[in-house]
Amino acid sequence: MTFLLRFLPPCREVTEAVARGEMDDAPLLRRLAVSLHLALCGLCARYARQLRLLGQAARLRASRLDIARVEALQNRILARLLA
Amino acid sequence: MALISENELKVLKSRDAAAVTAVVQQNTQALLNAAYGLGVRDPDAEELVQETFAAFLGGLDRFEGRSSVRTWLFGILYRKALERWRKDKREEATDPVDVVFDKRFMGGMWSAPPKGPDEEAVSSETAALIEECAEGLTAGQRAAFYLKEVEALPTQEVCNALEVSATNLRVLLFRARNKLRECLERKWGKA
Repeated sequence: MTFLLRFLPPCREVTEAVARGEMDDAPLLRRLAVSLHLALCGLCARYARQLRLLGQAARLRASRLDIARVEALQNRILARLLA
Repeated sequence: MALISENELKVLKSRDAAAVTAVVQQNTQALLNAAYGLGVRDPDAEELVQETFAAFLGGLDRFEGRSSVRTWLFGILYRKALERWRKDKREEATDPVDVVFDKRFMGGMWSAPPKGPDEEAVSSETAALIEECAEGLTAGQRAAFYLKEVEALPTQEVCNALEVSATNLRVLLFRARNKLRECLERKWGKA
């Protein structure tokens, strides 16, 4: 199946498109070609997986915010704005 | 991210206490996270969020509702963070990571493939390493990465907040993601 890779965009183009976030807005055929490449190319799939990890880490950090602290901050802000 | 209705905007512009309270309650957490995402630490992060809301209320007459309230707030926070820390707002035309990325390929194919463990889910150790790596990003790269990855804002909303074109945003994201990935790979290699 990997012979199909020669008909698809090359690794550099695929990884660049993924890193630039082009897949959000790309036409369907382009997204299909990139997805197929990622399904067939272990190295590009690893790269894409590592980029997803970056997003997961950022979201994990954001989810750990102490709610009590946020509420205390909200109260201070409102006291200042509505005074 | 829903846009504010004309009626809601009118009420907000009248400085209605309930409307202002709702804005603060709905956005404080996201703004505080965004401040941390930009690399601002406490107590500066909390102060930055307070200043953002104060600036929002002060400049409410200029808000036309073409972006969501949250996007508008992110834009204020970002500009205040830049002013405060005297960061150079202009991103450079080139970034060293562009060359690093380039060197990983020859003829479009990997010549220096990505290395590292095949983690499917992020561990707290990896998350800590990534946070260290984020210190190497510019403010624009951090902001773009945060707004896209954590807030999952549509491209146009991120562009509005950061006052960049869609093309520039893609460059910021490319550089942010590759800098983080390269840094992470180096740290994994040392572990």
